[in-house]
Amino acid sequence: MAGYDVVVVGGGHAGLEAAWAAAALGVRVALVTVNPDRIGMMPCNPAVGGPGKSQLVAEVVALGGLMGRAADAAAIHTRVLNRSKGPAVQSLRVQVDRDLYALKAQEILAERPVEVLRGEVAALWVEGGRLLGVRTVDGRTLPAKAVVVAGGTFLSGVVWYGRKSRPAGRQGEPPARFLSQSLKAVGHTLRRFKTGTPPRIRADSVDFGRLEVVPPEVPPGSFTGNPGPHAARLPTWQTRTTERTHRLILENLHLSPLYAGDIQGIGPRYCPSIEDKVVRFADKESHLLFVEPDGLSTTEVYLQGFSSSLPPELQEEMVRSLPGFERAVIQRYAYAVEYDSLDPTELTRGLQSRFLPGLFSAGQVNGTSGYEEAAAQGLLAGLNAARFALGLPEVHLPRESGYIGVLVDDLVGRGTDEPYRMMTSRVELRLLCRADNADERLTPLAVAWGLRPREDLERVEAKYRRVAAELRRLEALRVEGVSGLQWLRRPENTYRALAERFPPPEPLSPEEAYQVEVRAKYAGYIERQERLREKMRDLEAFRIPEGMDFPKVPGLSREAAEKLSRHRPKSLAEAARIPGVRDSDLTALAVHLRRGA
Amino acid sequence: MRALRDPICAIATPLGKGAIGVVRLSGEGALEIAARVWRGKDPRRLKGGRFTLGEVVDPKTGEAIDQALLLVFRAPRSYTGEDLVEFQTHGSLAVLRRVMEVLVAEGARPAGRGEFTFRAYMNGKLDLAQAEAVLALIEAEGELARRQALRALEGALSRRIEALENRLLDLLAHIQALLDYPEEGVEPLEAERTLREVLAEVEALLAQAKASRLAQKGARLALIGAPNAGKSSLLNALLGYERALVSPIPGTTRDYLEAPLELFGIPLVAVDTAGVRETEDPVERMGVERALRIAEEADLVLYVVDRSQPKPAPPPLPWARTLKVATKSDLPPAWEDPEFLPVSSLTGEGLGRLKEALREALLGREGGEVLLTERQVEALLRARERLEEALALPEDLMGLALEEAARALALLTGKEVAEEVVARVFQNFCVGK
Repeated sequence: MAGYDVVVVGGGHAGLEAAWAAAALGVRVALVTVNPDRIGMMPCNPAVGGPGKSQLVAEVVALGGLMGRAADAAAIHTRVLNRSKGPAVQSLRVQVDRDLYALKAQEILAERPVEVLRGEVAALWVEGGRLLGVRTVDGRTLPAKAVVVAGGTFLSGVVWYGRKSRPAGRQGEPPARFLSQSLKAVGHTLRRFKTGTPPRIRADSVDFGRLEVVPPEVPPGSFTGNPGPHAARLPTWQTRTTERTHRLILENLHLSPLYAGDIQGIGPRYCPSIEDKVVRFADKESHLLFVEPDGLSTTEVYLQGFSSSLPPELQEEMVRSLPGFERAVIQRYAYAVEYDSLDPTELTRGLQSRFLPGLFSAGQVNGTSGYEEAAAQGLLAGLNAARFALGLPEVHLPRESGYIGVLVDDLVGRGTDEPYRMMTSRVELRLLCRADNADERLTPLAVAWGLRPREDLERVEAKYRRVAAELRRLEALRVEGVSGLQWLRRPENTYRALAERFPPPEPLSPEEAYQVEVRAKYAGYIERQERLREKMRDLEAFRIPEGMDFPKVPGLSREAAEKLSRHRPKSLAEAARIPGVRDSDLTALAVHLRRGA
Repeated sequence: MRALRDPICAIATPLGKGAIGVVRLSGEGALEIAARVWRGKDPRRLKGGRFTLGEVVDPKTGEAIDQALLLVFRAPRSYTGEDLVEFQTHGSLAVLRRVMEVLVAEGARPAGRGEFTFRAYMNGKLDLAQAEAVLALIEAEGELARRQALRALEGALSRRIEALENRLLDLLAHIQALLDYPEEGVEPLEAERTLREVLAEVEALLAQAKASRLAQKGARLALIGAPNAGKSSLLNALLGYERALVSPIPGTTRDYLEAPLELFGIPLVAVDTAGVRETEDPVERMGVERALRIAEEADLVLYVVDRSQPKPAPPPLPWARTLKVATKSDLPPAWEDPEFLPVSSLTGEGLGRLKEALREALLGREGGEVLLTERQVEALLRARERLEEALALPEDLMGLALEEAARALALLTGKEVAEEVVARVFQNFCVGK
């Protein structure tokens, strides 16, 4: 029987990146999904990026992932957000054609020898405490050295329309009914999480003339530097809720499974249903809604901001209370979905199960939300699964390395009790870990880990050598009585103006010029963040041995010993981020570690 | 967790009056910081184990703080195993505190309890037996933190710090809502007004810190007034026993008397001066000039006037820190003035109110029930620095500066800044799709 090195369960954004990354290492990879045609589907809004998330995509790109390529190829509208608000928070959002995105993702995946199998995985195949592969519902066994579970919302998924529910992973697709049991048997703790989607409206039933138009940016932006052919093709639109919308919601709250108490799952705070918004922010007379086209042919629009779990009949009325939607026809109703997710504190920082070597998990299963969060984890889990199969040690992205590092550290180090979304405020070193320098930060790792070819590193290194040389030139340059760098630090001055007056020996590319400008303008703050990073690295360097008996450490408070035993930090830096662990506890730990050394 | 290499400083000699006082500075960049606050031979050029004579100066003003000896120990041959500088100054607490202030302003951090020893241990300068002593210190520190936290739960002052922190976190959440949800109609920021209000509150707390330092090191209280205005009687009444020589002959207190007394747990030195009046007597005139100088130097002045006699012309006093007292309120008044507090040393009338006024003047309106610890002062100073900087920054950098300010305060309150901000974004703003 054919065996695999890595079997990936699920063809969503986590599964895709996992299979793609694993295949980069030259191992035998299979991706098992209920419906291979739907690999790379976007069940929520047809957009990639935005604040916090575009930084994740930039890191996925730098690590050789496919999400940025697929998004650029399928782009129909792009926007740079926070353009004037500083380099750390500037972010790109790309609207895509939903079908084209899936198609492009599948095409890219096909560039590597990944075997795509149709089937529902019923169980992990475990014998004598060892992972041997997976079993499918129809009785097949797939031997594998490592397994990546990327089941999204399908694990014991239940979909709710109003107070009616039925088992489903997404609308119209069956859930994974049995895998939860397997994870429980391994020792994992499962929780019920919840999320929701808004209704999809037939495009030809919308009066676009009554909507506010947001045109695409020209020239379009891109994650990879190669905007797709349609990237500035379509606008998006905006509309607002009305008094009538709010009245309809308030009069019918008892029909919502959430307000009636039927749904027990914990929903994300940042993805509130329209019911939540109207109830919790009662003083707001109207809420902004975003109307996003589903694709180039636009047979359907997505009503972003209008998630609801109210019954379908009521949704009709609610939608028709919106300007421009008076005669709207709902193509697919809004629904809430409840699903199993495992407690990510039971994983290693390589996203491997603490209980079963070779078992990895990524994406919504780990308690996150969002395509970008899923992709980032998928990449890391797939990479480590392949390394596991090859007998190589796990690799990690430390917190100070960037957004993926923070994502994993937050999940594994402290856990989450609601679907976790990336936000810029979670990243202490966000001025160092910008989207624009993800290539500099992560290409060396990507190459060392075999995710990207060596030439890529040479190119990136050459780029930053030119940036460094230009910074040195500017430092020596005298402009209006100060150095070129000091001159550039003045808010009104730009690199472009400076380069026109004092051209460099060879002109810089726009990306290089941007690096020079950011590095000059924010030098003081960048330096302060570098000191903070040093401190984080110092603490990171204090490794805590596996199996450390925390209650035996003299001077450690009982509370801290208990928390440390549960979270099992690998370094002082990780220990420092566990809530309830105090300075004096860390000092005691440091002394103890030193004594052991 | 404390950083492992950043420069730290501490007063190394016991507090109180000694002939010399020592401030130690250790860590990466210690020599550079020392060079910035030193007038004399450049400490960076000094070999390990050598010393030099010079002056500690405030680099911002150029003002000399004290003449001092500077000793340099170079890593690893120092107590901590790091580059270490010792300043030996005169032993006055005021001088030592000023030295600490300029070192902190130049980037050093006040050391935590036992931190010098901790570093010595971490750098292999102490052996295993000595490590036990370090552990004892850490446990003591933990115990101290527990007790402080317990007390902090009750303290009015801690509530103020928390209120301050809350405003800061709300502001941060607002900035973050704008940055993470740029399109969702979050109302624009009025950061400057909020920032200025928060800064004013930090200043008020730091003023409180000054008051609590007063409480720890004591204050000088000068009694100034015309001859025979009843200053000595008032002092006696406050002290409760005959300390000053009381006689009806004007000018009895030719020079001045110092009397230690304790009010509300604050050690005070009351200085009873010679009467202030126009005089031909050269000896008495010297006394008068001296009295005015003492008033200048005092932390608080009591201007004492006899209400049974015509009101004299006021002498030049530091009025901002002067309390006006009308004595002999048991006698028929020659004038009325609501600014003056009527007191009778004979009957005791008004003494209670005078003490209350003294307390407020010394400790501020909060009453100083919770004194600010060095840790609190340090956190507030750090927060103030970042807040002042934040005023001039664009939004995302402002967010970073405020985050640092909030983290400084979080050291006192134990809040998780990042989590708090995320929670508040969704509590306070209708964002998310």
